[in-house]
Amino acid sequence: MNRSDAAPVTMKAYRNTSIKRKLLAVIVATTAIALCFAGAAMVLLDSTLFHISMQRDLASLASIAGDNSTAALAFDDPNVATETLTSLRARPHLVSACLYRPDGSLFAIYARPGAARSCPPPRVQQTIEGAPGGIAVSHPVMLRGKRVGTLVLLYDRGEMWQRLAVYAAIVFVILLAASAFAIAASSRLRNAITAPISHLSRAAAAVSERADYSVRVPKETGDELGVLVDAFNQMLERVQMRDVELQDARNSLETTLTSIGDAVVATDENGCVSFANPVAKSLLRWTETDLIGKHIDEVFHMEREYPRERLENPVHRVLREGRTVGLANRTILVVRDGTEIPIDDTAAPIRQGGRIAGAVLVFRDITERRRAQQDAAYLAAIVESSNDAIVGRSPEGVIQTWNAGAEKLYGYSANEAIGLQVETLIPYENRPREEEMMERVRTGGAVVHFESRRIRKDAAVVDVSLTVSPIRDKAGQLIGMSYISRDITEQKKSAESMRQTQKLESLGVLAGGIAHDFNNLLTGILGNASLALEDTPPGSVARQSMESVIAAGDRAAQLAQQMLAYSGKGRFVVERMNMSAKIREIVPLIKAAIRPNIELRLALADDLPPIDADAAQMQQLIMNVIINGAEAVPEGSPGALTIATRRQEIGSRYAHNGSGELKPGPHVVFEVTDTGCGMDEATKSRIFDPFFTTKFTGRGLGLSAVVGIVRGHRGAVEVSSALGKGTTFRFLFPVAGGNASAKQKGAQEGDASDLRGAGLVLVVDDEEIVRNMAKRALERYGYAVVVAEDGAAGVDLYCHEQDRIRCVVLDLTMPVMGGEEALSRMKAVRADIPILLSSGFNEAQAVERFQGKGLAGFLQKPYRTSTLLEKVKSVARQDVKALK
Amino acid sequence: MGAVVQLRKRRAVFRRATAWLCIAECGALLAQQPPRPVSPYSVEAAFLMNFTKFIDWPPIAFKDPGAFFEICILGEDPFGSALGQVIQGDQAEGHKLAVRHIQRPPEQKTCQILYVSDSEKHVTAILSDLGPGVLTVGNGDVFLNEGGIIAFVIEGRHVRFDIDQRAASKESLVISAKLLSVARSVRK
Repeated sequence: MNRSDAAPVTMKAYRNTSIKRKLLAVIVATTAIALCFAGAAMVLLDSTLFHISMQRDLASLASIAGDNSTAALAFDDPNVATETLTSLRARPHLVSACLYRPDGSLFAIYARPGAARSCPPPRVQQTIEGAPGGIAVSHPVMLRGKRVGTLVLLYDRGEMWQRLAVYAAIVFVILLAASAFAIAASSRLRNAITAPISHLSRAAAAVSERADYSVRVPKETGDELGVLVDAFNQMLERVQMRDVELQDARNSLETTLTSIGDAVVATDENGCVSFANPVAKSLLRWTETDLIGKHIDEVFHMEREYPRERLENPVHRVLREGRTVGLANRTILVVRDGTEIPIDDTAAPIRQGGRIAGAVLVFRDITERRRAQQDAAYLAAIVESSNDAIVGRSPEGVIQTWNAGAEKLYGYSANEAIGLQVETLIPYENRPREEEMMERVRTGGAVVHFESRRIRKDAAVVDVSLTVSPIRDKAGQLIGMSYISRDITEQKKSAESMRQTQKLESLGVLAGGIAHDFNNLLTGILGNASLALEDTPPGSVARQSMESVIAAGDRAAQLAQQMLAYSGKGRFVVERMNMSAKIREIVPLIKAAIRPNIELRLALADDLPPIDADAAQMQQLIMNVIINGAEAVPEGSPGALTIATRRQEIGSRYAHNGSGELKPGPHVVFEVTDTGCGMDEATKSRIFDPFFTTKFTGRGLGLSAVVGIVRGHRGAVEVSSALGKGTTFRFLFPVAGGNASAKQKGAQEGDASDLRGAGLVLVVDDEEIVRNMAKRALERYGYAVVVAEDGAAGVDLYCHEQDRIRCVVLDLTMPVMGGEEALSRMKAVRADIPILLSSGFNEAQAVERFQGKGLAGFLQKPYRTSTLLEKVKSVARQDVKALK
Repeated sequence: MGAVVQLRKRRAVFRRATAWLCIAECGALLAQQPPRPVSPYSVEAAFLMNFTKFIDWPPIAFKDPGAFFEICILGEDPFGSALGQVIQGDQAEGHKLAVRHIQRPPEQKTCQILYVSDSEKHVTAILSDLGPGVLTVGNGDVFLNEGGIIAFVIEGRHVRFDIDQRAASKESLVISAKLLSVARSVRK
């Protein structure tokens, strides 16, 4: 230890000494110092006074000695002077005394035994001054005012030193005595001071060591220490109260932190974990024993999810910046065992006295929440992306949610709709039923499906299919309802259209079937009548009857044709046709059928493009429609009938509201508008039904046939009508393309005289009457004929007689094996035999259907024998030339 | 340098003081005590002057308060100018000193010191009726026997004197013990 440290160490040792010792030291030191000062002052005072006194004494001594020497000086008697001086030996401290004459010469001297016989030189004035060996007193000896000599005394300081020594001894003894007394007194008195302090000290030690705030210091005095004891006890009481409160608060906080669902980790200012609640331990996969004291970096490892990178521990930021830090979104906590947990949380500083004493980190596992959010977002996306209108309403009927589908369906934006009463959307007449449905949902709780109508923002009414579901909270309380509505206006229209089509088709099938069978019968009737007519000699009565049979057969064939036309399977010869030209051609013919008070207006386009159509059917259509329109005008009242044609481009969005299907492209419109009585909706929906008529005499097949014709031409018909105002029939036919279907003219009427042929002809038909008639006719004209009643038998015969058969007449519709399959098989056996297809259905369809299958020709039923013979002869002549 | 000047100054003062002392003191001594071989009379003249300092005269010794303190020399004056020099300007008992030469015994209250020269005869007679307050001084051992109060004697090379205290008391003179202590002998 060096010297400079010595003093501090002493001071430190002093500081650590007990108050009792300090008090003792202070009392003794104070007493000693006081006494020292007092002693020193006394000694100083006394020595000063003694010095003055000694000076006076010496002065008077010199004065006496000098006075006693005046006579010796005056009368020049050194001996007497010496004697006088010698008398001074009574003063042991007088070293020497010298009497000088006025001229300074030594007159007499006295020296103490053993001392030098010398004196300091005389002074003119009286002086007392220090001199070697003591104090020199120079005293002028005067006689009657005249100086007669000078006495010089040399006095040593022995007396003064002796006196000082005596005083020092006395002071020392007093000091010792006073110190002893002070120690004795203080040891008795200090207890009065130190005892309460000791109590305080012990109490303080108890508080600090055991944190025992219940101790109290006994109060023994009423002085400042007593006040201090009282204050200390009060302080302890308050501290005890606060300690209890603090402990309660701490317990409460700990209970709170332990029981909350969030993970809480607290750290000290160095980032070491000082607290972790059970949720935190569980999440971090640490137990308490090894988590506390660990550095936060060791236990809390964070990464950003996208892009994946390590994140700075928020505790560092908090300790550094001293402010609350929120974790970044998409934060992943990588725990001890490597598990990754998405978390969400904040970190905040813990402040103590303005200083950051640590940080608290609160985090929670948001896996479930995120999943729920994802699910909710997914569901919301589903709802939002749905084409259906999904609307949520409160139990009171206020709209709560409104998806994009609803915006599209109802025309209201979400902002406009939310808050509206749901009744705003419901037409008045639908409300009672809706209320009933709501009640069912409320009471029954089940999902209800029904159809209803809704009012759009633009006041249009739309048909909707509704699914109403109750929305309930977890307690099962109804908190709202959801409406899922789909616009079924188009669907309904389409279904109606489909229904109409199906109706027409089924009727068409029925009509076709009837016509088919009817045609077969007519084929037999007409064929046999023809044969009979040939057999009947001219002028016979029977001949007229035969002709009547044939005429009736023809009319029956026409009726069958109408029915086939309705079914779209009638005879069909496609050719390129100008609609305007056709109308101009027909109008003069039918004018007669129209009442004169009906004005016929023509608005026909001159540059109308051609269409592909069967001229006969189109004529039938035009006539039917015009006459129908004319008849709609009430009898006896004037009216007008406007017939118009024009070209119209049909787009993909053309709102077609009639019968038939339209494909986008240029179309020819044929429109007939009457100023007649018009129709109500019920009538309008049925006008195309077969056998439906409002006319007393009508058969109900006119407009049905029209629909069949339109369908056969891939066209469409639209009817708009208002009761009392008239009706407009609008027909649309596609404009003929560049490669218009080949014109198939009907069979050419040939020369009967040149109908003879030869060779074997196979006739396959399920109708015996047809088979027999064909067999007889062919045989009459030179052919050998074999017949088969169905396709399978026909194929067998074909196989056996393939080398002989020159031609095959094959019916299309047969049991067991139809004409189509039989054709394929026959062609497979031998392809060079011409096969004529015979059917009551129209030729165009047959030709289209059997195109490329080696069909030699088509024989439209009912046919006359002449037609059969012509066809057979023509194909036989062509030999085995296949139809393209 | 300053110290040296100071020292020189002090020495100069000292020398002047010493010179002044020599002149003054030596002058005084020379007046009272002639240099050696100093005439005994000059010493005696100084002694006469010094006697006035150790003896108290009664007021009746003076005619009036303003009278001179006269030192009367009866007979032949052995002092020459020495006595005159010694008393010059001095006083005794509050009276100016003066020297008077007389040939006959003085009247009362005219002389306070009467020096009886050796030349006088009938000393006893002279001394018998002088009146109070006259210090009589003479020479030789017999002078006291003749009724004198102080008698100068030569002892060795020193002038000494004897005193007759009784005679002094008779003349109402109070002689200081100091004077008595330096006397060779004192008659009581």
